[in-house]
Amino acid sequence: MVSALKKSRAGVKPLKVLKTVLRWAFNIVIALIFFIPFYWMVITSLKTLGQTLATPPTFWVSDPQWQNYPEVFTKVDVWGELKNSLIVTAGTLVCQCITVIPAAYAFARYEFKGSKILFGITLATMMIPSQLIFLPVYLMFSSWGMINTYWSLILPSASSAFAIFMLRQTFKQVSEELLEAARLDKAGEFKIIWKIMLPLARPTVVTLAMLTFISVWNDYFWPLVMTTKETVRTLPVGIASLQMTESGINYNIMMAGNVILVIPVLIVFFFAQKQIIKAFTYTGVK
Amino acid sequence: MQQTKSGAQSSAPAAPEITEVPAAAYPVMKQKSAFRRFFITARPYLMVAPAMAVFILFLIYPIIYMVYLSFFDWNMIGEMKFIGVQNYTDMFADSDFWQVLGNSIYYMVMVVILQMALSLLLAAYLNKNTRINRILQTVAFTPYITSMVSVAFIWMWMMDSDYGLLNYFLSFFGVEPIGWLSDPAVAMNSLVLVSVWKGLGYNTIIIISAMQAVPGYLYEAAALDKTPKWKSFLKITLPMISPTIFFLALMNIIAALKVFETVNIMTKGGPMNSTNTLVYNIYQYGFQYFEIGYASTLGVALMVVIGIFTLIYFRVLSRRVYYN
Amino acid sequence: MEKITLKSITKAYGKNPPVIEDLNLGIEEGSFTVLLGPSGCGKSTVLRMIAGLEKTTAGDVLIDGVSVRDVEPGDRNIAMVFQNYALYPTMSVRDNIEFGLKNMKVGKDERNARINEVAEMVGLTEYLSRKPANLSGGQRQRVALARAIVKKPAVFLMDEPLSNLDAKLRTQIRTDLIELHQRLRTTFVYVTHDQVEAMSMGTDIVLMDQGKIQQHDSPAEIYAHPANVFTARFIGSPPMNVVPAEAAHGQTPDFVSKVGFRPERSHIVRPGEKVGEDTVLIDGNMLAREMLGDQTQYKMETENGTVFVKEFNDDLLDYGDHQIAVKLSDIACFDMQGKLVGFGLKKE
Repeated sequence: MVSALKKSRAGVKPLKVLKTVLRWAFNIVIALIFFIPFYWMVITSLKTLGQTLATPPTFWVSDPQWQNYPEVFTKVDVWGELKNSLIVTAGTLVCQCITVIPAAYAFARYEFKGSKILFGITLATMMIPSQLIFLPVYLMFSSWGMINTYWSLILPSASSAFAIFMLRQTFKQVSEELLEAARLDKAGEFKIIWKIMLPLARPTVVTLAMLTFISVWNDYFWPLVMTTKETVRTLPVGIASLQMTESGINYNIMMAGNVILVIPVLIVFFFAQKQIIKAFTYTGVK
Repeated sequence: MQQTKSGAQSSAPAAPEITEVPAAAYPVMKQKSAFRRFFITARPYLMVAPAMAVFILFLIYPIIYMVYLSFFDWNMIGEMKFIGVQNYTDMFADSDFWQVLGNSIYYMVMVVILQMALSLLLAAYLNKNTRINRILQTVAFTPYITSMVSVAFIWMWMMDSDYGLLNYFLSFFGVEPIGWLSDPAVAMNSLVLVSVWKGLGYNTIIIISAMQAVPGYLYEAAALDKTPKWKSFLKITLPMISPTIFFLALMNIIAALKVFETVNIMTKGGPMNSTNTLVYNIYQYGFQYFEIGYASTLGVALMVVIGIFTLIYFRVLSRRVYYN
Repeated sequence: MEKITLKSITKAYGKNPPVIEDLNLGIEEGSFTVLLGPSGCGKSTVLRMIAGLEKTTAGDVLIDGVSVRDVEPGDRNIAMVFQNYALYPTMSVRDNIEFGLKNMKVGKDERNARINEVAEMVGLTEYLSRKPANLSGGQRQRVALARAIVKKPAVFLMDEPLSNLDAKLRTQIRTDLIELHQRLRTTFVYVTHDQVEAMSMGTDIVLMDQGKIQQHDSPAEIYAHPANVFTARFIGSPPMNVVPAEAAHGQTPDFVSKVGFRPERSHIVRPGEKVGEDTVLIDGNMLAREMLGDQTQYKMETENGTVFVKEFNDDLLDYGDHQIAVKLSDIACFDMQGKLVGFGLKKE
């Protein structure tokens, strides 16, 4: 009996080792699938044009071509576009605060005629993607002479139905007693929102702001269709224009530009990964 | 105003009666003015007004405007000419339209099936809450927060048929170079691949959070019955997370119908129109051929397609809310 | 002088039948008025209408004789203590207390002086920088009180402020509230469903049921002369025994439909004890016996229902059949409508 037990235990062990090895191999494969493309971007950005076209490709460069980066700046107005990106992102955030917070509060806390209809309209707009209405909106802005202004980039996303919906849910959870106490303490509605509601809703507000920041910062489609000149173009559009050179595609320069575009987001993600992942899962699991 | 006065008068004579706390020490109660009363009624409307203005002006009105434009022939500069349903009959008669619609639906179906299958597998693999699994989740999530431009650039370079990394790797296995973006039979699948790669981490994490919400006692009960792991996954996990999967599938469907960035950057709709999708087609007609009326008609077509799936989405969403 | 007057108040929610209809109530300046009643009787609604947190459907609320229909809650010179305290969770204790003062535009020096004074008074000085989440239930209760006191309001409104505390703390804070009222001499309006709280603290009790005032009197009066069967059965622990008039063996007039007696005004006849002419005897079987030290409470089953008897002696009785003795003059007589007609009424 005892020896039989021992035998079976001895038999299990190699299987377990094999399992562990397989697991690690699999883990590495998964990591590589997501890591290699980014690594390849960085390493290409440091190669000469000749090196990029070498077969077999090299995975390391001994003489990094740092000058690829300044070259991006000569082809694309990186600083100007960075500034535009910042203005559009900040402008959108500010506008969303102004439109979303009071609306969420009103929907959560007031009973008024038509509130259900207005809230229904709000929810319905969640389902209108910008890819559907860019042409009419472009025509509207163009008839107002506002193409190539920051307004054409900020105003269409100056409010967010999703944010109103989420913030309303959060505001609804605050107990009515608290608001009544504040009203008896002679606080006006603005003060109630600013001093009581928003501090309580801080996690939601931070999450929503983060989502808006990442989506506006990364957005390529809207600034592409709303602008015809470089003056108000944001960084993604500028970097994307790197592929349209007369001298054919220079992947090293393209990747250098790409690194410039990706690095800020990656840095933010590195330091706030937990919060960012939480924010995004929040959009999926309502 | 008169009421305020009488308030002051009536509280004043009370003072001598109460010796401990003089009533006059309290501030006079302020009566609401007529304006204030009106303001209180109007306040909720004023508070939702900015948001409503944005929605109506930049989302609802444009839809109406788009439908209106679809009945005209217009090149943005010249005169608008009303042509009735001409654009629609043209569209239905155009084989390009059917190809583009087919492309869009093919792309959508492929993305959704691959995305759901792979993220489900990955979620099952990374489900256990260990350090290494959390790290892998984070790594897989990175592409999701990266700009679509970057992702398109990277993959465009990796998919280069002559110098790309993908063909180089495949050459180890004796695979002939593939024209990832230049072969009409392959190009659309390449775009599918990029989309799946970008969204896999997100979908996986959502599924994992749904899996971890399954109450543990269900598995304990199964373990007591000596149920094999794969069986408890099929019989317990899958049914429990099916609402999440359905919800994710619909989100992926709608996202796939909006595809534009990868098409514009990586293929420009080619080769041979094989990767031209509805949104890209609208962009072409609007901004390259300046056929605003026809572009709007294509927009209406896209609206109908998205509308169908949105309707399903809302029905599922409302049922989810109901069950919770 | 009436501090608060409710003039034919009606309150209805939506299209439902009104929860309060044509209610009239005057609350005296400087009184500690307790609105007492079972849950759902409308007492909290009355309090909330005084505060202005709830609109009246019809009728008028007057403070100092002035209609407050168009005065916002914050302008009514009132402070309210809520059942769940309603402390601002993101603010420290100090900020919680200071919030109202800031909104009232009280100057900084004055604010600090008042906060220090009130913190001293309720014993929160050491906790001023803490967040409400880090306080015990009793401490939170005191913050809620401090927040009300510091505003120096003309009226304190309290909505079941002790219901979330354990029994010991409740008794303690009860005494504190009486002290506070004695010290401030302002008007207190206090809502509770607990008659012990009402009897111990109130100078006036407004007993309500189903949106109507059943009796508005001093605690002594409400105890001695319950206006009706409802009041009789609500006040006292245990409350008055109210049984059909037959229990008095036909000694009461015909228009009396129910009779009642207080458990503490009855006793169980000992063997050999002589019972006077003016006493009614009721047969009963002892169901339960509770020795409480200074008193013993018996639960007795009689022909006409279960009654309680409370005795203040050490002479513990055994289970079994007994006779309950009640002096005729201690018997309250109620008419068909349940109204008190009088005590010790005899059949002619």
